[in-house]
Amino acid sequence: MSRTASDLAVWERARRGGERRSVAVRLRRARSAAVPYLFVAPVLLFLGALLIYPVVLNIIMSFQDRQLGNLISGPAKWVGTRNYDAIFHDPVFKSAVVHSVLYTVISVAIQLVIALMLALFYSRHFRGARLFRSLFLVSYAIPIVVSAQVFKWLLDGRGMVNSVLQSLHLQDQPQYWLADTRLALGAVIAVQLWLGIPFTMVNLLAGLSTIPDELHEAAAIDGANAWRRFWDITWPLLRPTAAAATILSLIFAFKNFDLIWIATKGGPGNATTTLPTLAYQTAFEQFLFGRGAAILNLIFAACFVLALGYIFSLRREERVA
Amino acid sequence: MGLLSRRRRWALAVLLLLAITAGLAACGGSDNSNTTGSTTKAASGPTTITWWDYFGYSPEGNNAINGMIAAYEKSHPGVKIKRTSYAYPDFFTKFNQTVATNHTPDIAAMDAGQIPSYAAQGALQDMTKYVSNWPVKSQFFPQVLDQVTVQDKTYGVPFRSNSIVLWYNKDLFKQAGISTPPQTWDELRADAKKLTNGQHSGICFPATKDEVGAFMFESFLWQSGSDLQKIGDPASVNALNYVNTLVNVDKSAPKSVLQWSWDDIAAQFTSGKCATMMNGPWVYGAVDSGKKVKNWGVAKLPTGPAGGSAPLGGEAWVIGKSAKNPDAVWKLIQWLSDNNNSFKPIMSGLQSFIVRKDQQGLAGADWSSIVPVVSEQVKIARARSAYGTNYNQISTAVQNMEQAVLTGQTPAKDAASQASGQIKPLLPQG
Repeated sequence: MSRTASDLAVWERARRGGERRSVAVRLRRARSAAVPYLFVAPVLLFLGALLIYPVVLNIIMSFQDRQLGNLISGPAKWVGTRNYDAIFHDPVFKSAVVHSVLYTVISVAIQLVIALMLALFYSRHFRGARLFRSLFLVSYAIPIVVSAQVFKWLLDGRGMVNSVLQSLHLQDQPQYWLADTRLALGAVIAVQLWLGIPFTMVNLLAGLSTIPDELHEAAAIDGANAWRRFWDITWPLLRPTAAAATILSLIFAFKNFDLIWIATKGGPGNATTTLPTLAYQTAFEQFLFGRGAAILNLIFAACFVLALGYIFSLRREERVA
Repeated sequence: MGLLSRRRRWALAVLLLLAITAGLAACGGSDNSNTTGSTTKAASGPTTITWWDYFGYSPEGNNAINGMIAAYEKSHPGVKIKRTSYAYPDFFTKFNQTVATNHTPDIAAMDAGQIPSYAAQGALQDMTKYVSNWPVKSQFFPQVLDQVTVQDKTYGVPFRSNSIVLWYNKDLFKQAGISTPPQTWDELRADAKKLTNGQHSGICFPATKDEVGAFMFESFLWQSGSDLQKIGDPASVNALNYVNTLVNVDKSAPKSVLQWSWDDIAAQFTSGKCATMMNGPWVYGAVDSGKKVKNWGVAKLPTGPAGGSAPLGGEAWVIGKSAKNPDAVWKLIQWLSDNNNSFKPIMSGLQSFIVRKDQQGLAGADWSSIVPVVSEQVKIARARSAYGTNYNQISTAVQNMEQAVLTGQTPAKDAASQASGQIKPLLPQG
């Protein structure tokens, strides 16, 4: 077909029209691509105001000399790293770091083992399994303030734990669970276990329910015993869920304030002082807001690293699934 | 395509975004405005005075305060008082927030021990100009006025005072063959030993890691002849060792005192588990209404090597820094300081003791059997205001020191010298 001038003119018009159309199409596509971001924008603004702003403010405050009068407004002297120097040289801070790490790691480790055993047990199908499973959530549903106060009474020198242990002849003298420096941290860890196991157990149960029974049956037919079935089938498939649950528990235990504050207030003799309780005392009892902000920033940094680990483990979980 | 067309979804998203932004702006706007207390100049319309206190913990206290407020509003028709009452621990957290956001209440019933710190933080208005020519000022007992004076400026008007005394279970004393309450440290130690067995402890007093524990320990410190500025000297070591002996050597005081506060100890006393306790008149209601222990008495705290002493507690009326009409608040405070208006409710409703010479002998002062003893104790009590505006940090050093000794972590001498190193730079210099 030969190209005549009129054909060229037609093509020219068509091309330009096409361009206009493609511009319109592009614009429409861009708008519809932007719609999801617009829906998310309010949440981002909200989070920005409620999370980013206080965090940034806190970081700035840790380099200033802030007292009650100039806490929000008013001039504050910039003191550089003096607050951080003060806390790093404070023996109470050093022991608080040790207590925080011990409290977090020990309680989460034991929590994981016990919750795993319970989850394995309750994932079986027997009469009343679901009922007993949900009873475990009772401790998760009670406000921490209430549980902590009740345990404070139970663990008192004249409390019920002592009378039970003595009537079972497991001890002959009352132990001061919360007033003895050697026992206090252990007692608080024990209470944290009671509080934390249900959450981990529920997570692990959810993970276990995604493992198809056929795998276990096939393995049993092939002659695998219970331990091999667990180690070679259950655990590898459960590992991502377990990792996520562990990291969440670590974050929760590391920043836990209510339990320790109500049970022991960080005592006796700073034996249960952790970073959160130390930060509270520094900021709100001694009015040293700059120093309190410094401690809180360290807590935030640790939790932030753990949270990154959580996101990383989630992506691994998705890949496995 | 779904329910909404592309265009409609776009419009909805934009609308949502605008709505949320507008909402945030509205919330943010009101926080940035510099609204201070809600007193308004009484040119026209009623004056509103915001009032904060922590006396809602007992019905008598609540009624006493509400009664006085109602009487004031009745006699001053242009004034409305808006009262908020918090539990003691929450009070200071909330008050701190109001100081930080410049929204303080106009008038507050403030713990006198905290006044120097708050004054230093700029949370309270200087009342010197009001009280300098006030005839009532000379009536206050000197140590009571000391509490509210910071660097020669007055920041409060005291209205309530108390101190710690020794409460003892007369029945248990009779059983143990002790006829009178102990009057010296040695007598207390001997009596407590006799009174300790499987059913009850001889002596209970708070040794917690907070101001309560520091408050209690200061009495031992002063009785030994030492003082917060002199911690580290042999007398302070003596005081630490004495307390340690009661808790860890004789075991007359259970180790739980490291965790027990005033109310816990009162509960132990009223159930017969502590034969004697060191506590304040604020637990009078609980002890008086106890069903198990009916036969009890009070006595002054046992004297130490340097004599008798106790810490002075109490409250004063303060004007918050955000009060826009301090003159109206001062008028209220003057009215509250008139014995005709306030003496009876403050004495019996708030379990208080006289703070002024012109209150001696007034009817209503004898609201309970414990009044004579506690009044005597208040007379020799010491204010905590002499330690300057860093008292909170000094108190922390004292708490750590006492707990380090009582938990067996540090011997008394080392704990005292450690605390001394922390305290010296915090004291008022020069």
